[in-house]
Amino acid sequence: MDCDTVPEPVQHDIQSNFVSIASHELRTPLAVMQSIAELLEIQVKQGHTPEATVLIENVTQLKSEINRMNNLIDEILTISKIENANIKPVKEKVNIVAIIQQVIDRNNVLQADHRKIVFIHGEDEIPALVDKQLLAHILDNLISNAFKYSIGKPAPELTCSVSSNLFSVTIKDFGIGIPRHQQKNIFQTFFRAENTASIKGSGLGLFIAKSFTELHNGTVSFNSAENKGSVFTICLPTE
Amino acid sequence: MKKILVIEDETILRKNTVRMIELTEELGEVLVEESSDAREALHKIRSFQPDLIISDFMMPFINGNSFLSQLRKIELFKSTPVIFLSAKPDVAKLIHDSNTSFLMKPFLYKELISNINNYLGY
Repeated sequence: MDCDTVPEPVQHDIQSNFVSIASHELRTPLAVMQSIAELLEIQVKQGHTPEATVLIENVTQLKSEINRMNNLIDEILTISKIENANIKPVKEKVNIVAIIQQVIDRNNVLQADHRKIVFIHGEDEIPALVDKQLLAHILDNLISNAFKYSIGKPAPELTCSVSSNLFSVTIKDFGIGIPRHQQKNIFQTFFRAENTASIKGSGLGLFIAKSFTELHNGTVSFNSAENKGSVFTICLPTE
Repeated sequence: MKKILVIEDETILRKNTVRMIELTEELGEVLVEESSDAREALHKIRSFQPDLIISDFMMPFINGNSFLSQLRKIELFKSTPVIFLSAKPDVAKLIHDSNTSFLMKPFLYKELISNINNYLGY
């Protein structure tokens, strides 16, 4: 982990194909919903009305796809704001440890396998001047990724520390990792590594996390090995 | 009996597409197999020997373009028709192969069956 240098905020290049990829990503859940509707119609017309359990499964699938579209639209709007420089951090003095704990609690309850993140911190209070909503968004993206890409493995670990005028948060998982040849692409919008096909995701979370970190003059770094896991570290100034 | 292979990484969409084809009486007896990605499909086709392939275009590991070029290198599948399903309207421009067609996602059931009919001649 290198916390020595903190670059100025980076103005991201606006990707010319962003709208094209966004429309593709939005049409995919629509295609799934359309297929559910079409299949139901065929079955009913042929007199094979599905049983209640199948109908409930269809409704669950539809709700899941609606939720997926909704999240995607939120993320696309966030990226649009980032690229138009429409997000200005509203900084206030907060306790970083408390914010981390809130995000951890929120993520822990969402885990169907009841795993709970291991939170290691020396101090109970790390005061810093940050936009707490943006920081929570960064942490939420990194923590949810750590859970999502490590199903069946031990719970992720989060460590938090402070030195001089910087604090760092490190999130370590023991999951599928990122293939070495694709690591250079992971902060690109809509990029998803080839070993994530069976795991839902938009490919936007890390771009947003990096952008929000840079809005705080901070950095994101990572180490990853396929089938061993990933370690993501954010370093931000305390003032 | 005609054989159709459906390649799609979205599980629900893949399974529903297979089911739609199986339920369509006008297609007669059809055997449908499925693959979740093109790499797996390239293994499966040698034993399954489909008469028609319905495939997603944007897939993990191998995209539709690479899949098609690898498919055409196999003598048995030099002219096997492929219907690509894509949510990106501009992918059709990437393919120059007379035995392929494109359906935009989300696609209508009627469009799918009409395309299958075009190739399998029902």
